[in-house]
Amino acid sequence: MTDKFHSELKDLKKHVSEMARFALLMLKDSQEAFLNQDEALAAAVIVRKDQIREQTVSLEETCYQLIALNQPVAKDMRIIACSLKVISASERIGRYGKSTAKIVKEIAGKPHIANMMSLPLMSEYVIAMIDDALTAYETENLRKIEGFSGRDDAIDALRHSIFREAITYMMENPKTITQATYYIILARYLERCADHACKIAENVQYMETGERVEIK
Amino acid sequence: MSEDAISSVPHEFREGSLAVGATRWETISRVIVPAALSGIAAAIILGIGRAIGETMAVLMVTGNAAILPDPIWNVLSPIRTLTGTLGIEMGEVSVGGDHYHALFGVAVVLLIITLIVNLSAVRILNYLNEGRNSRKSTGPSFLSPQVLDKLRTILTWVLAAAGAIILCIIAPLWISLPVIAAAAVWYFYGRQRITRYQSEKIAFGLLVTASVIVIAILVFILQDIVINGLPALSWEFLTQPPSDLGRAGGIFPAIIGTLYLVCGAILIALPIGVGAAVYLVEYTREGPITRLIRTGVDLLNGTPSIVFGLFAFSFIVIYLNFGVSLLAGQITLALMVLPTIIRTTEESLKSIPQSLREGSLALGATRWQTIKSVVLPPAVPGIITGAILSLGRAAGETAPIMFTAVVFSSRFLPTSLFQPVMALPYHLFILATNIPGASVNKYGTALVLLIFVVGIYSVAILVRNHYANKIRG
Amino acid sequence: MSESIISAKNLNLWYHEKHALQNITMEIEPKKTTALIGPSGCGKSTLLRCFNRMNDLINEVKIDGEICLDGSNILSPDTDVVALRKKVGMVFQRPNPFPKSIYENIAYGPRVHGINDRKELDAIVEKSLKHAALWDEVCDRLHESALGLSGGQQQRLCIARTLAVEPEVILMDEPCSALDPIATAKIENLIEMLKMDYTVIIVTHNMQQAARVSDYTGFMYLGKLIEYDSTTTIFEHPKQDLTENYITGRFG
Repeated sequence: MTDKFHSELKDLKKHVSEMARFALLMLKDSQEAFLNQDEALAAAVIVRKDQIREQTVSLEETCYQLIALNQPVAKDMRIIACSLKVISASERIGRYGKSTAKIVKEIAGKPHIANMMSLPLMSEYVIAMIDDALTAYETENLRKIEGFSGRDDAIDALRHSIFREAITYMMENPKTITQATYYIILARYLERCADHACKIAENVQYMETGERVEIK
Repeated sequence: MSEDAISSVPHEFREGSLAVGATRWETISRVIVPAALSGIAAAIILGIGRAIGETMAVLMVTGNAAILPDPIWNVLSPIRTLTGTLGIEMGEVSVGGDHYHALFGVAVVLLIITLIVNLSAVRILNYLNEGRNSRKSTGPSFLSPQVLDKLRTILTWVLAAAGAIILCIIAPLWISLPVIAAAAVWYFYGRQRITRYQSEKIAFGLLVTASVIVIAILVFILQDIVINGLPALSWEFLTQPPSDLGRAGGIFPAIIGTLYLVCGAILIALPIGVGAAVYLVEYTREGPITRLIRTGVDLLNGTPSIVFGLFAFSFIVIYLNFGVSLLAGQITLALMVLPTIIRTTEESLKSIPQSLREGSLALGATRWQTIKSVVLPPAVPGIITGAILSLGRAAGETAPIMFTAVVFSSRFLPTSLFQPVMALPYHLFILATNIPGASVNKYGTALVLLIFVVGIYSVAILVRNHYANKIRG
Repeated sequence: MSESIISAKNLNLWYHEKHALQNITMEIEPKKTTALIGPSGCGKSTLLRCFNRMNDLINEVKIDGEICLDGSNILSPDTDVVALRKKVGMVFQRPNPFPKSIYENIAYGPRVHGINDRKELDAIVEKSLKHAALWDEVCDRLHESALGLSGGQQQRLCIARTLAVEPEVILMDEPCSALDPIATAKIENLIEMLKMDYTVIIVTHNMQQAARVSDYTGFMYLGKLIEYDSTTTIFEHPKQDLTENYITGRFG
């Protein structure tokens, strides 16, 4: 393996991290747009979907080339395998950001109900999880993802509570059905993003130690 | 020469054979010796050629009776050889007479025999080399292997029978019958019964015996000369001219004469030989002309020394009217060692890898510059070794100088190139064959000559080893 | 790991004053391919040559320790080295066919071990050449000189020659380093097939080759066996940093 390969590997990690942060920003902005019912911000997020698609394709291409031309082994190979997983997870996270932004446009104009239930809290937690997973990926340090199992349980609990709360509201007041349903959908999106964060964490663990773990 | 041929077999063959589970003897007999066969054959043929052309040794011991042994296989009868005839009768002819021409006829016959031996040697070597290296079949392609096998068995039986018959003829029955009986026993009974390890031990025992015999012969000869010659060595012996027909006094003029002859020969032969070799290797391409030149050089190499003497006698001494002189002897000896110098120089030059020449030419050097600065310097040790070995050979030759340069007894050293000289080998020859009662001095002369030649060869070996070690690093 | 067929225990070797092999202990799995990798001069060829006592040919070598083949120590002085080399065959770095015909090259081994019947030899030659994936290419020119074959064919001939004496273990010392990629691929396929009947130990400079053909890999460095494990473990997540650094090219 030449120096050229190792420096290309470093660049790959940097670019993947940048792309993942970009996707995370899409999610963050979409959550903020939801919070403030900011249609303009939502529109801006939706436009970024093409960029994320481009970056996904180009970064995956880089990974395949590194494999074909260098036959990497051991840690080098695991870095590339993990990066591929991070790329695909980040793309999904970015798309959830776009889908959230679309919902924001749908419910524009209507006031929030029930203080948006626990959605702001949930989104804060999820964004923190993704952020920690990405930090672990960038620094190759497993400390940040140590309590992920518990955090994922907490996210699941929040989703269940939002679901029950939304059902309750819908039963009490049929006029809130549309809004509440969207809240359930948004909670679902956030839960999926947390799952992707767990996926990233699992792969970072494999990258570091070669162990395959499952975060339930 | 056989040793060189065997050690030049790549060691990968040895390893490959041992790795398959063959014993050392099986590796030697079935892989290494067959691979070295061409070199060994060359050595044998060279030996035969040398034996055919040998003059002095046979002159002194065969009795020189011009008869056919009766019965034809009587090995104890005196005989005469072609070379012996030339050696004895050359001094007694008158130039231009019938006898003179007859002697030249003998020389021609000798030359033809040498020619046949050399040419067949070349053919045999080519056949052996080709069979080894090319894509061609290693046997006639129209015969199936089974038939070839049967042919091989029949041939072996025929040869064995012929060998047995010849043995019975030339040796008394009490030797030949037990030998045949032993061979039969081994073939029918022993071959299956003795293990591979036992046959290895037997083979090594025989090899050791052969080596011991070679060394024993050498030791025997040496001790004979040293023991008998040592009493003669004294300061006076080495610095005084001979007196009383060589029975007393010293051999100083002979020592100096040999030195003059030998140095002169090298001075003449070295430039010509090295030049010819450089031309052959560096300037010409392989083609019919170079092959012709090489064949010529080989023939020159194989020509018996007495024929050189005859030629030099009639051409240089008589025709050019130099008379029996130092110069004539130097020229004769130079002609004799020329092929050796050409050969060794050629080999040294060929051993320089082509990549060196290419590197120099790629930088824009001319061919001569390349030769002078890149090719010749590393070849010099080989050239020097060849020159020194030729020196040794020239010092010991008698036949070429017998009628061209030497005189038996002269009190003074030669003052010009056109005067005859004394020489150690000739002095020894005359003392041994013509002067009764010179026993001590003749052994002394032999010892001095031996030390001289051994000294020269030792210097050559030291030079060769020194440079070989330098190359190996 | 199941019952090993050949193993080294506390093997030490000195070449002149240099401690060329330091306390090597390893067990070779039977009917599997084991690769030895490491930088130049680490001792892998030296170790390989211990398994069939080829180091005996070098004078300045001193050995200490044990090498067990089927239970007995082959380094003891009363080992029959000739019989050992029949059981443990070797293929060298540069193909070294004898200057004989193809047939004679392969028949050489059986002949020295006592088989002289023409029919038997024919059968052995055919079987060995088929086993070495060379039969189809040379069946019509068995009596031509072996030196007329290409490099890759010559190496397969040497493998066939080794197979002809029916060894249990085949040692290969960088068998493909003198060959072009296509010939190399043929030899690697051959090694895959040989695994079914023989135990193969291969020394190679080429790590990708070791990764492709072997089941177990040993990494050596400066005479020590640093790590010895299944090939997937070594190349996916090696336990020693030194191993990781070597196979990812960060040194050597």
